[in-house]
Amino acid sequence: MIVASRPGQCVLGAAALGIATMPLWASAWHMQLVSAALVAALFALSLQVLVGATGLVSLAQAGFFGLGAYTVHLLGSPPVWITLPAAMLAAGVAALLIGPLALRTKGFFFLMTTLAFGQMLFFAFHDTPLGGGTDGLFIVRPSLGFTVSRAGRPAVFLLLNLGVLAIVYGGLCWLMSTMLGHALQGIRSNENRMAALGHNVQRLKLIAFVLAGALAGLAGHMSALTDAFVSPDLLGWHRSAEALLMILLGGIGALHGPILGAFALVAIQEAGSLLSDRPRLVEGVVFLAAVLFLRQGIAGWRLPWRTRP
Amino acid sequence: MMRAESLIKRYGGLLAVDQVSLSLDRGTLHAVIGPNGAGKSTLINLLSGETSLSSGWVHFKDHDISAWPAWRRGQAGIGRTFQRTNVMRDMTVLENARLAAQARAQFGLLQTAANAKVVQTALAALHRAGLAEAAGAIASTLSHGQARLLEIAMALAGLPDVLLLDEPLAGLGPEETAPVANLLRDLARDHAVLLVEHDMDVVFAVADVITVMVDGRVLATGAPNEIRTSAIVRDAYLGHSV
Repeated sequence: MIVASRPGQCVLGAAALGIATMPLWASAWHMQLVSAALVAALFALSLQVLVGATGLVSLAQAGFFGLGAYTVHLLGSPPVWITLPAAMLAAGVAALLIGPLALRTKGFFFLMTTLAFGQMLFFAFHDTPLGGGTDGLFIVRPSLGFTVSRAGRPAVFLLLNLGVLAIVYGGLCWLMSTMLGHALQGIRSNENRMAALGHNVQRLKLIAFVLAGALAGLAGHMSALTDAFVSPDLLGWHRSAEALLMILLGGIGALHGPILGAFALVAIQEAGSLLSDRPRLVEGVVFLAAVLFLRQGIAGWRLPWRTRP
Repeated sequence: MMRAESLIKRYGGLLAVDQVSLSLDRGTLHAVIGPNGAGKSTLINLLSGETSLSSGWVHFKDHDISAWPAWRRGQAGIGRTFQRTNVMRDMTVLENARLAAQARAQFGLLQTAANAKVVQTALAALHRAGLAEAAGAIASTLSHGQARLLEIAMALAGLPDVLLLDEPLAGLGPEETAPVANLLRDLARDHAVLLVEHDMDVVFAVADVITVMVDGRVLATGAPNEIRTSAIVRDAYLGHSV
């Protein structure tokens, strides 16, 4: 897993500063758009803990995202300092229950098993009163501890999402430099050899699965907070697939890949609907081009500058 | 140090390993020879836990480890190398050795991977295997000879008590063989070594004890001289090659 080089970190930092100043110059609509991209980036980043770092491709991730979002609603919207840890805990516990079962399988079968567990979570909210109906529902926003005017909302949630993403990204950068981070990368590279060396591969994979689940829950929480809306659709497997596309587009080998990919995907979707009546077609063409010409994703653009962690 | 009793591995109707018993002690290099398909690699996999036993017992330091998975045996101090180079190809030589060193060390997982003690252990292992100069190279770019040394260095970095070496000389040229043979002799000073190898010259030069396997069974066990002069071994396996 490549952590961005120093110039790369500077570019990311400058972009974050640019986003942080948006309340001074951007429209509410643009801030909402970037806010959505930040939440998507957080979600894709949570999946990168499995895909890029550990070599596990999971389709259950949206289930944990949705669980985090629904936690806000199911708790009856207490203050945010309760909902945020609760969302991470709920998603983390779900991952802890599903992980040991799903991780008995490998490769394609792991993909299918996580698809099945993800869809179980989806139907738990789609087909029962738990989810408040198949069309979703508007929820009461948890209190942030200070009053936010309607006009101030886009700016506040933009900054909040930016802060959470920055903290999670920074934390994962650190994690990748620890023995745990290196062991996960070892598993991605050669699982059997890691076991022969004396690493408890199953336990390490479970740690990654639970961490990724909890972070997806955090992303779901931020989504519920930002949109004040939850629906079973949040848990659907195609959301997981979309996050995988973001990782692929941004760069599967780089920790910041999912962030770049999420912004690129949101930009492509917006540009697609501005330029054409068939935005999905534009998306498809861009993905095809990305797979053909950008094997390392957007993060691989500056190949000579890339450094190893 | 390590003792195997009546190991049996069945694949369907095939007995890959049949009633094999042997013991490994610190300071002794125990070589296992035999024709292809004799069950030598299966034997190593049974000892390292990669393959599960059909029946039999493996003891290590007063523990019955017969049911232990591979990672637990590795953690306990059983190091192994693979016949076909099996490393983290996209990582550097030092990172490979570090992952080996951190598996054995009882450190917190959240300590930095560049932990001084782990790095020191890894570098010492690379140095002993003669690979210190290549520490920064990506594993996939190593020559075949260097990759064989990395196999050994990784096993060493785990500070094992027992070393199971599966054909460490496989594919090495004549000029590369001598230093590795010396290394094997050196490793036997402070480890219990099991060596599976096809190069008979090296085996007879470095081994303290030789076990001959044919069709999954132990044909004979003894000192190199006894094996060399054994009529049974000569007829069944060595033929006129020695």
